[in-house]
Amino acid sequence: MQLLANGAGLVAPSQRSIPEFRLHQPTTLAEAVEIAASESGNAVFHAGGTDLIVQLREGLIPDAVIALSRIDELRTVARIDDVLQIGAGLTHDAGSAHPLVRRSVPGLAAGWSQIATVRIRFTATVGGNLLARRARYEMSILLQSLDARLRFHRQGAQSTATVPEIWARSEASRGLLAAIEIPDVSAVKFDYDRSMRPVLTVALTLRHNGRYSTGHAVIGSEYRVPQSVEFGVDHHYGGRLGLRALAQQAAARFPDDIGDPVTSARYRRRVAAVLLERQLARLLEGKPQ
Amino acid sequence: MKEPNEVSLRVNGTDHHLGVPANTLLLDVLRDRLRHRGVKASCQRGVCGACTVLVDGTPTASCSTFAFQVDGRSVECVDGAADDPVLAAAQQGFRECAGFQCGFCTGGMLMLTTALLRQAPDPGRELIAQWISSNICRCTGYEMILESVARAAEILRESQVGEP
Repeated sequence: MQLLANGAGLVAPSQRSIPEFRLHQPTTLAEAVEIAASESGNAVFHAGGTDLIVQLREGLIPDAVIALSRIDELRTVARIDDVLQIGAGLTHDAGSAHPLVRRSVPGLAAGWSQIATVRIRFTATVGGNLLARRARYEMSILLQSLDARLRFHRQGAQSTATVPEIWARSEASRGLLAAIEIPDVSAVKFDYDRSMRPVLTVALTLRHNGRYSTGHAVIGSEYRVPQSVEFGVDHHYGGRLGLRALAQQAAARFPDDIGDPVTSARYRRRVAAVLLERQLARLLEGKPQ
Repeated sequence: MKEPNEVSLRVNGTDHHLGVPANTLLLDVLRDRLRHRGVKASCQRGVCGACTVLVDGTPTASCSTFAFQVDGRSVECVDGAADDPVLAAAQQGFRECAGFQCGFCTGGMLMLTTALLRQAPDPGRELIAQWISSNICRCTGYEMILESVARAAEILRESQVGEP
């Protein structure tokens, strides 16, 4: 009855009509943040809108929608003090093709260019992909591996959060996601393997530190929150057999949470070990995929 | 009802100025207000692509696009632009290669094809498959659709041979 009273009639058991809402179309980040503060709690942001539409069909009833498409600040890319800053409002198509992204972290550009479908890539944004918190959406996997920080703007304040913190929802509303920041890009090598999707995909970041690298592997799948392990890589790793051992040791540390009714954790660890070995070879030895 | 928003858009070359509630979808504007019934309503959540139109040349699910998003922009849908050579080539390609059965997804497939051929006039099979996999067809198994797109590219090339 409440749904009907609010104009969101039930069209089908899993499909609701789009409810009415107040629309705001700010042109600056500051204006958007001010509007969000004034709209006491039940406002949502609209970037590409591809996931918001699904949420509305699933029953979300916001009082207000704050459309972000007119805010150019959300679509910039910059590299400042070895931090790559990617505007949260960039579409997958524009972001993955951006020259600065390609130069700074070519593996990210390559992986990012493969997700979703061609049609959706022209509309959906990296920020929307992250904040939708849907396991099958892939940007969480890539960016968690890169130790990305998500920068939020609220009225009078900014804050950052990590990708796992977004999944844990460990804070109340953080405000407007403005940018994704990837630190230490000059020390980073990155690879994303989605050849076994939907069973799993693997993102691997190596951060160089002299003779050693720190590896950060994140695996994701259709139904499970991304999980990560970190490990050290001695650059005198002993050839392909050394890489294999390293990959197997890393994969063995993924928790049982990576399993689901479709695919067991044991199988996922096995596949992850195979993919990680290939990724390590690509990143350390320059082997083609 | 909330106050209507003013939206100005060009559809298949014709300008329209409409007052619509903020929650109005582009699909509903095209079908119900402007009678472009070639645009089909299907999944209503941007998955299947049967409702695909071109917004400023970019393939877009009209069921997941609000009217306010296309204010000031150009929209092309399948039942217009009879003189557009790329859409015409796409339509002929689909006709020659039987790239449809029930036809419900075909409008969306044609608009995807049009956008692809404008961007890549000589696409290989892999690129065609990448683009066509944006939309769902329950009938054909996709092979005839892929052939139709390849044929459309051929037709377009043939039509351009001999141009000064």
